[in-house]
Amino acid sequence: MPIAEMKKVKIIFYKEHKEKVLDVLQRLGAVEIEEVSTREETGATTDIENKLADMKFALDFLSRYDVRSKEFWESIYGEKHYLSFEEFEERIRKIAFGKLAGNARELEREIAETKSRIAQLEAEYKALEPWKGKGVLLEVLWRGTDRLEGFVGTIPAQDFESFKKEVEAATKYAALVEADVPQNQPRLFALVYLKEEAGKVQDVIKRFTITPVSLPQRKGTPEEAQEEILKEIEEKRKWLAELEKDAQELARKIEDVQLAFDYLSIQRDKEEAAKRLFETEKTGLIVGWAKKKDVGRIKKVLEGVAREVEVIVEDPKEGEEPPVALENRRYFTKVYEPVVWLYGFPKYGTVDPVPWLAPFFFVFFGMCLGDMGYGIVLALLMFWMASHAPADAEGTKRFLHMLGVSAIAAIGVGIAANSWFGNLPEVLHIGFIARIKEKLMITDPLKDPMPFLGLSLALGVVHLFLGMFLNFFMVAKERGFVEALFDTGNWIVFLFGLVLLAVGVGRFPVLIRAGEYIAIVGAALIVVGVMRKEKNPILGFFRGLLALYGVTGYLGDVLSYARLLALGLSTSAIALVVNIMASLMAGVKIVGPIIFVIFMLIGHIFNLAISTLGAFVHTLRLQYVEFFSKFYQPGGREFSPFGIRTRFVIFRT
Amino acid sequence: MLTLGFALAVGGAAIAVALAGMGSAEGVGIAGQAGSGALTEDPNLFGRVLLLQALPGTQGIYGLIAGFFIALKIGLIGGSPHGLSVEQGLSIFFAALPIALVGWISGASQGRTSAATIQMITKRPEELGKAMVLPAMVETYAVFSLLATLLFVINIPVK
Repeated sequence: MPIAEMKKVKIIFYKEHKEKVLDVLQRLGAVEIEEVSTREETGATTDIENKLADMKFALDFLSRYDVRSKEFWESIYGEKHYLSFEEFEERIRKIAFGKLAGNARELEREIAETKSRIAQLEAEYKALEPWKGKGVLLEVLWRGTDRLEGFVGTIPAQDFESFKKEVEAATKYAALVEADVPQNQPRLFALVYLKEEAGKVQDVIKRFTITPVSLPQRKGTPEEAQEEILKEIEEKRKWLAELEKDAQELARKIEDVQLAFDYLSIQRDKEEAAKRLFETEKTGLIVGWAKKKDVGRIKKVLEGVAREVEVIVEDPKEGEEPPVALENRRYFTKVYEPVVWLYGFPKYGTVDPVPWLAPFFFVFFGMCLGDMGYGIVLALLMFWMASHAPADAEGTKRFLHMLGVSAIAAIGVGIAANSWFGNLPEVLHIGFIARIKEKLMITDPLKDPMPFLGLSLALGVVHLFLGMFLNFFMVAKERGFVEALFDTGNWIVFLFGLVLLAVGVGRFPVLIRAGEYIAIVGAALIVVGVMRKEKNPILGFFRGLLALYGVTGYLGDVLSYARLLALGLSTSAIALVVNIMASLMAGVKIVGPIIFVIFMLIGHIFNLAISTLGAFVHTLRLQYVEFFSKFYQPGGREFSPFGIRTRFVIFRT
Repeated sequence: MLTLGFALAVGGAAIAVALAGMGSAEGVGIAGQAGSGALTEDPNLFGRVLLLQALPGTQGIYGLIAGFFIALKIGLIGGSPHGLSVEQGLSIFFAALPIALVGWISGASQGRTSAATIQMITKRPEELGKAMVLPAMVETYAVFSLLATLLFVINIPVK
């Protein structure tokens, strides 16, 4: 059955066996431990969480200094290490966790400090630039001497002259030096005066809008100070290079850090799980969920831990909501599970939509991409990428397979719709392929879109009816046939009548007759359905008539499927344009053919990318908006068993 | 033979495609901006965000379909151009207006709605269903206008 049957599992044990039980449970990876809602969260982090954070930091830091060349697939899927449990534990024992993390932190701190010091020095150097050649002695300005004091500041250009005059007027001795600043900036100046005249100087300063500037606290002339700074910068840069070499040395051990990170993650998960135990003085209890088919194995392994460990298996009670695991066995169905992953799992006990939507996704994607060449390329690409996915990238692999399988549909549609990389065989003047292409074609939507449109809408109608039937059976199961009839059955009848009408118009008068009658019966059922729920029969009758207005919603739904034509057409049309434009360029002397090939590659790759994206998104949207809305009940919780979750290690059994 | 009427009919097809496409472009763009914000918070939402962003794209598709319908009817595609009178051409031009104008405006409106629902799923990723229905409600009017255009175009006597 597509939604796995779940059982409640209760594990009772003596506290002395707690560690072993948790260990075994984690390795099994088959039981989801229930959240204990009453437990309070303490804000404090545990020791393991701290260590894990340190290790994560070390990981991020060292990855920047990791100079090893990565294998192509490793850079896409991430680095993985394949070890057995024993090998893993061996290596963990040899790792000095504290030292690794500690060294990483220290290095990082020092590198950061050095970098910031260099930045500071560079800023100091820059600050002294305007003063080059002005002959000031810096220490006089910021420290002063026994008798002299200094002040450095900026003043708006237009005030400078008056300021100068006033200072000269107010003091016996004052030296004013101007620094070099760009044209429209405030003037930068240094003022040296007698300490005893400080008051008078301050008065003058206050009368202008002057902003004080602090100069680097160095000795000597600006040039001398700058030389000193340069020497310091040189030193610091050398030191930084040393530090970075040390980091690269340490980064050689990054594999150890990765293993340590995974080890700590496993411990942390175990700690989390331990929080969910019920404990008395001597015993412990774990309550959780497991798939019915795993129960036998769980019992055997756990009860093997000790004689006093007991596993009790129960059925879910009324009102309980077990977690949901999808269990589609056939390959063609399984590959479409990602559609449900993205949207939300179904409620436990309701319909698993995957087997129903699989053929429609397949066909619709095929129609939207609609080109044989693109279908082949996409399928090959997807399966190739999937074959190189590591064992723990199950989700990604499934998704790639989903696209790969759906691309095969595009091959079929492309052949039927006369689209082999657009009209490539004709453009290349490969006569015999072009003839095969034409022979295999059923309809060319670029010449006459109507058949393709008709097919799209017809498939849409089938899709919608399927959704309604699924709803009908679901409601019938839950609330009985009568409820289902007046909820969905009536609409099915009514719409079926309308469909017969639409098909029969102009062609088969007998269908018009049949359609009319069936539609009227359906409409009556709809009106009655509303009247059943209404106390006042007259009000109910009019409400019922109003409900018939809902037919426009279904009409909109059907029209939505016209996008299959539009998307399929656009793929072929763009391919055509690429071919035409490339051929135009092929006429150029000598380089023509080269340009032709390059243009074709770029053009078709581009078209493949956007057409695939559009096909995927719109096909998905048809499932979600038009199909699911008829019957699907999301809200299920994904089954997430307590197990070993690692980022870098894949355990060989 | 190309007549003024034919040109006007082509104008109708062109306007249907262009304006509806503009609406979708704007709508999908607005939704995309909201999507970027959502993804900075949680990159794992990408699949859902992409889906919601694509919803306002429908108007452009409907405009294209309307354009195709007209082009087929007047022989612009798959046949030879019919010699249409000015009255016929103008009729077709007007018939194209519903999807053109409604597609244009509703595309942007749906885009804004999509943007809002994208923000909704950053807080409640599990409510993707509801997040899709809200923008789809806006689409109803685009569907009606497409229906009107198609019905009008089908019933304009040509030849």
